Amino acid sequence: MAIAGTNIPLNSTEGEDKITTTDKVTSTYLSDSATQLLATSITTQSLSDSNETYYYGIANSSTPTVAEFNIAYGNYNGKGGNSNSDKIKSPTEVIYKQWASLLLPPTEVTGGFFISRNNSTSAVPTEARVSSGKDNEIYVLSTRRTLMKDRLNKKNWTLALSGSHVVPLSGTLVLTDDSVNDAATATPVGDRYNIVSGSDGTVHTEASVRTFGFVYPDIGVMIFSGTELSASIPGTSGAPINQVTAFNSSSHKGFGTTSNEDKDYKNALRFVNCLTGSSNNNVGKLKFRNEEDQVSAQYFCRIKSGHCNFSNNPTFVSGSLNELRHTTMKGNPTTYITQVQLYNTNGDMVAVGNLSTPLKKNFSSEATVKVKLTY
Amino acid sequence: MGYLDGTSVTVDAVLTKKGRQILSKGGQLNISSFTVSDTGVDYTLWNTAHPSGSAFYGEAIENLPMLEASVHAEYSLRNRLVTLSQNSMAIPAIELSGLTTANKLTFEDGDSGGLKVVATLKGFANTGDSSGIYFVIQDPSIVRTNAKASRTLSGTTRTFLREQDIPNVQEYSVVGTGPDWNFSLIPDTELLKAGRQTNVYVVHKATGAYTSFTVVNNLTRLTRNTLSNSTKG
Repeated sequence: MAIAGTNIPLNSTEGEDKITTTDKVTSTYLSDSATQLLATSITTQSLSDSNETYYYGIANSSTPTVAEFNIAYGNYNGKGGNSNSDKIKSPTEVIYKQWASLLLPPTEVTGGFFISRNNSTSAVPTEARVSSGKDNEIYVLSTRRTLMKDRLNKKNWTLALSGSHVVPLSGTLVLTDDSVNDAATATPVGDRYNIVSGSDGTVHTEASVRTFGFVYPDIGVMIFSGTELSASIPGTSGAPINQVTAFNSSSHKGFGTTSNEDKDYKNALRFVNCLTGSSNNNVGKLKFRNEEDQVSAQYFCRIKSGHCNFSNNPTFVSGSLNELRHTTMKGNPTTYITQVQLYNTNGDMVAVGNLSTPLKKNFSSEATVKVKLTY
Repeated sequence: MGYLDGTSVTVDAVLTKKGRQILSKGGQLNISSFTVSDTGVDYTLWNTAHPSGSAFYGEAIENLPMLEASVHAEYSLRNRLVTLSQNSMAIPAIELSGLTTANKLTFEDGDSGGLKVVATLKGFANTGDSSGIYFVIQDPSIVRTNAKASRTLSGTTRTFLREQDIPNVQEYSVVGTGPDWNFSLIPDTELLKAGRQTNVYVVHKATGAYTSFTVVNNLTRLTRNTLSNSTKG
């Protein structure tokens, strides 16, 4: 019988003693692990004025310092921001062009976003609200990297907006993506799906009829057509459109926006206001999941019948001669495995696992312990 | 016909701090071997008087609920299961001589030249294995040795390594068929502060037999050699 007090070798060749798998694990997106953030709990995160010129944080009112999402408003022509009589670039133009350069292919960057007149469908959506050309207005809802983990979970999300003069739906505009029906469009930042009317991946109105935006799960970003949103939720007409948006103001619950560019109209707040719901119909919500790719390596630690049947455990022996404590074990020693240690080629113990209950081992038994290491 | 109890047990492992450190530096784990231990098992619970018979001798041990693994895995790695011939009646043991008291080697003023320790393997008939022993000094800044340094460690010894000592832990080896292996330990003479302690673990490579002792460095003054005689004028 070979004597072995040293480590037992593992054949780390894939498929021998080692198998590597990657599992996609989905979970709730929100920081409090709730499945959705409802209108009554939605508020804005406190940010400095210099930041709020560009974007706002959407937070849970119970944890107002923790941003769950960021929302920004972009306008190709700089409307809704301060361009100082065209002497400077308006922050809304900066936002539009920032996202265009990030999300669009090089040949389309200067042309802008074609959301309402969706350029990924075979024909222009039949009920597109932009009559020609690109979308000049966009809203960008971006997720937090730490919350979305590896990517936003497509299909299993719902965004409900509500405001004044919601047409044609009854009170609420409910959006999801069409990944259940349509293949993704390849973009420089990964797959892209259309944002359409529906909920939890169930499409109510196809993108070929109307497209409200695009979702990029790999970077956790949603781009909405401002024109499509304002067609459904225009808000109070008249003077309020030309007012600086106030958080949760009933006069500013809608996507109708000004064509002025003399100051910051805080149009991104209109998106937040529509999430908080109208005063008559409080139904806005954000419901998302995240995805994480978990790589796990499984090692099959095989302990043959003749191995590991003795122990250095001080209770295993007795007396000055280190004899086996129990005479019944002489000739048939029995040990109990409680822990497995994995070592690298340098002899460093890099992982350890405990068994849930001790595993009996003797000369009449072999043991295979599958050690799963996830990282 | 009932289902057979599977012999494969699935264990969720956690990375040790060393494992995390390797990954954080962009390294690969390169897992190539494993050991099993019975930490937490007390064999005095093996009940040969169990009324239901020998199949139930280990009932108390088998029903033991186990604790979750700790990333400080070194703390719980107390024992290791070893492989010996089936008819072995005793577990090989290492006996140390040269210690000043039981399980302790204390350096006093005048011992700055070092002390010799002899490790003797008991209860094992060697069949020619010459891999010898290795010993681990937890903190080589307290005591050093003339033995051959083999590697730095992160917790492969039979007992825990203090976390803050991990970067310092050093393993040394002494080869030979034995059963006696000698090595000298030399106290640090740089930081003369009495009472500094560290542990030394001695392990026989082939059998896994091990023991440990504490080293106390009580040196308060150096015994310097005279480099030259005084001269007149």
